[in-house]
Amino acid sequence: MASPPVRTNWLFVILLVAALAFVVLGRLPGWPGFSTVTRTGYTWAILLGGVALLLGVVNVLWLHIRRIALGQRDWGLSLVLVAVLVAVASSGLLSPAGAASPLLEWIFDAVIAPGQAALFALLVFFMAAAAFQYLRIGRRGGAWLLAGFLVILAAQTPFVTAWLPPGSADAANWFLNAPVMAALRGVLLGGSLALLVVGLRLLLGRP
Amino acid sequence: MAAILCPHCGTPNRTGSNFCNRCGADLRGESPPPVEPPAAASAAPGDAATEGASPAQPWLAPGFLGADDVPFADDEEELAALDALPTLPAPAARLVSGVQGLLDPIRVAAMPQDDAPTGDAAGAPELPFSAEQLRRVRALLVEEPVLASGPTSRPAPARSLWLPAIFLIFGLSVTLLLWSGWPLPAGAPMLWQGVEDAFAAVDRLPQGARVQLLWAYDPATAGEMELVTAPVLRHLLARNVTLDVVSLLPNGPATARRVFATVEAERLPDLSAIGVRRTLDVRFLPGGVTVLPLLGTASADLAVVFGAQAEDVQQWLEQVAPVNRAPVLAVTSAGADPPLRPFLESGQLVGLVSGYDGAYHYYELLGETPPAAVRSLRTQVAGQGYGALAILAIIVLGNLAALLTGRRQDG
Amino acid sequence: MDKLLSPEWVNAAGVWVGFVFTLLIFSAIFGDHLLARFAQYVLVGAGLGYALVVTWHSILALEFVAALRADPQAASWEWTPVVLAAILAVAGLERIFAQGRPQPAARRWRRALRTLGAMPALTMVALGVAVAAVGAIQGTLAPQFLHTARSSLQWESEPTVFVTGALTLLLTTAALTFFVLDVDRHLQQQPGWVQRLGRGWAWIGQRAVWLAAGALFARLFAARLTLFIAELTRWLAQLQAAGIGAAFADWWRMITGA
Repeated sequence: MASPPVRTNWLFVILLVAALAFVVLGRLPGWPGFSTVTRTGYTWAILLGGVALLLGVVNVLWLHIRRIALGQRDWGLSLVLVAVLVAVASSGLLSPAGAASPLLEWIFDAVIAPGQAALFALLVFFMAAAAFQYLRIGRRGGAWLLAGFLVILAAQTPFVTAWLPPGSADAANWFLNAPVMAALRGVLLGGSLALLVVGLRLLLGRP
Repeated sequence: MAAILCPHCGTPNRTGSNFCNRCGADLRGESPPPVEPPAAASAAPGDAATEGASPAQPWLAPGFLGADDVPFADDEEELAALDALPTLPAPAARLVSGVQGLLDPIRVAAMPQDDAPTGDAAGAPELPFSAEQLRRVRALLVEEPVLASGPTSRPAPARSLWLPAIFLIFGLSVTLLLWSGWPLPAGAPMLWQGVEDAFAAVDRLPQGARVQLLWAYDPATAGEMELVTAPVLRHLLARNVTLDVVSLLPNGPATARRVFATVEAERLPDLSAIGVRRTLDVRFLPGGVTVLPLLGTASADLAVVFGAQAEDVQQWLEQVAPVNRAPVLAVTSAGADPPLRPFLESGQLVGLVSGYDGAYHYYELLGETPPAAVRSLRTQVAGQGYGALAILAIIVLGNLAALLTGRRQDG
Repeated sequence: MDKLLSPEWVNAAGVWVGFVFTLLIFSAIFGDHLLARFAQYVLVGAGLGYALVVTWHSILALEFVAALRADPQAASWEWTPVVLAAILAVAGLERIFAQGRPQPAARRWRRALRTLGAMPALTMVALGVAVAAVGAIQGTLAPQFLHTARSSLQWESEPTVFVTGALTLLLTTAALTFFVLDVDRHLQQQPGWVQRLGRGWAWIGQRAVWLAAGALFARLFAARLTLFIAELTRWLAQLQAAGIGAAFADWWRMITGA
């Protein structure tokens, strides 16, 4: 069977094998040297992770600065983003109180927290739209989805539980902790196996 | 329809195909005799008349379960969005083959040195990978494969309700009902398994015990998470434990400090009245899951994960718990509850408190609910009732819409 | 001027700004328009700026200061991560600023810088993959497999416990079969009875997963509904405190004649 040639990044494979060896041996008792090395690696990862986060911010900044400079679509909004980013960053970096500066705290309480909360509060409408579209008996799997949904909805709605017969609370708990849990355990195992396969494919240079 | 059989997997392919539509085997140079496929193979999948299948045993029909057998289908909007994709340059991604003889295979050069195949003129021409082809391949890959030789018809996409209509039906009804105070029959939220175990785990802690706390949520989910973290944090503070708080999110420390300040003000109002304020020291660690094992090097009597997602708890169970072997308690959003049940059932979690109902019962077990929390929980109890009625109405509407259009959707 | 900077005014201004901002975000429900996008861009800019400040003060400033204070010869180990971070930063910046610009034939210094910068990046990725893989085995696969294998299928247990244990084992294996097995591809060469068994098992698994997905959807719905209700009640309380709620209440009473 013809397949495209694969160029293995041998440096990455070597690093991955070494990392696997150190991580595994570092978790086993009786290998203090390896656990010291891995601890050092994790500590370095904090600093490198911080630099990576900064690079991400710079990347976004550069993307929008280019958009402004080239006059591309929505360059005005990009200008707003850049201005807000620079203003917020300056208020924190230049303040002697650092991340606890009063202005930064005000921005967090007035802009970031309400904005993020509002964004996520919108999700309930998208879920309602999804329920309209997908929880249909005629749809493939719809009856099963609807059955699972209605059982838990009834159990978690306070005024409904007041009407249900005694023992229904135990039945709902059993439903969540037996069949639903079992299916989700199967999904969990499948997902973890898939993760291992991806790691193995990276190791073999076949992503 | 004349076809050649793949020597690798046996799938019938149209004569002249270069690659097998199922396994990608190279068919050039192979010259098996053309074989007429059995008539049953040209039937649509799930057809009960096919060999071995019956209404009582639908799984025996060939092609009953495909790799793309998912309950949700793409709709027109998603596929139309693909048309807006820019044309990819010639060096593009992968070998892509048509599905079951409906398309000539489209070979895309993976790297500049993977040049055109040396096949003859009968071979498939090397086509540029255009947005239209991408759309066709994507449409075929997400639909159920059809073995018909005639023109294929895509199932009509399910009707979707205009989002502002959802807002009007759902949002305004919940808001107006809450505001009007229209009473629903009283009832208490469900006591899910795991809450009492969680309470017992915290209650068992000796004075001065060391507790590791992962603060894995930010203002986006604070509306729900504050409800459920407040009673647990209150309980921990009442036990006089030493908290080691860590967050992997940049907004986590600020969120944690605010919740701590609120809980302390409720617990110790006299101190707050005279301006005495304790602060919570929260460490921010960038680097994601890679830095979690570092937390396992410190011993602890209990680990508590305040996380809005099941993945946050799972990562702690994978990276920290096997190293320091501290018992783990999960305090999460209601949506993260079902995926964490396997861990509760296996004993990897000593307790699980989730959602507004978990908060309600945890406060009951604590025996002291602050007035603000009482108001919040009462509003939640009422709102969940109204919300359930609204979502039921929307589901009924959806099923009515499907009934009235009279079409079976998505196979 | 003092009044403008007084805590009460600042707090009130914060409430107003947050309220208007929330309304702008909510307006996205009616479509993608300029005001909603303006709010989204402001949120992204503020969030990124905040993340930058927190990262700098929590990690980078401390590490760099500690390294600068340490004697490179006496404590070279403390300098190593800082050097790696500097290499990563410089190489990363070079890549970022090279985006979107026509690239001449790669110069030697550019190639060398990219190769050097790839080292800490690849190390991070390799460490991350190793940590995730080992954690998946140690924290999820092994305990969950072992617990499933040791499930309560004991003859002496109560009937309900036995049935629950059997059902759990059946559904776990069925769901796993459904996810891992492509019955058409993997079982093609197998005898008929194996194919029937595999298809049946995957069929059960698919139904179990659908049922579980419905239950998960219900809990997720409760979570998002809680968020929405909390957002509503928070703003009602804050606006009432700011006097706006009273104005709305007066207006509502006027409209309804209550």
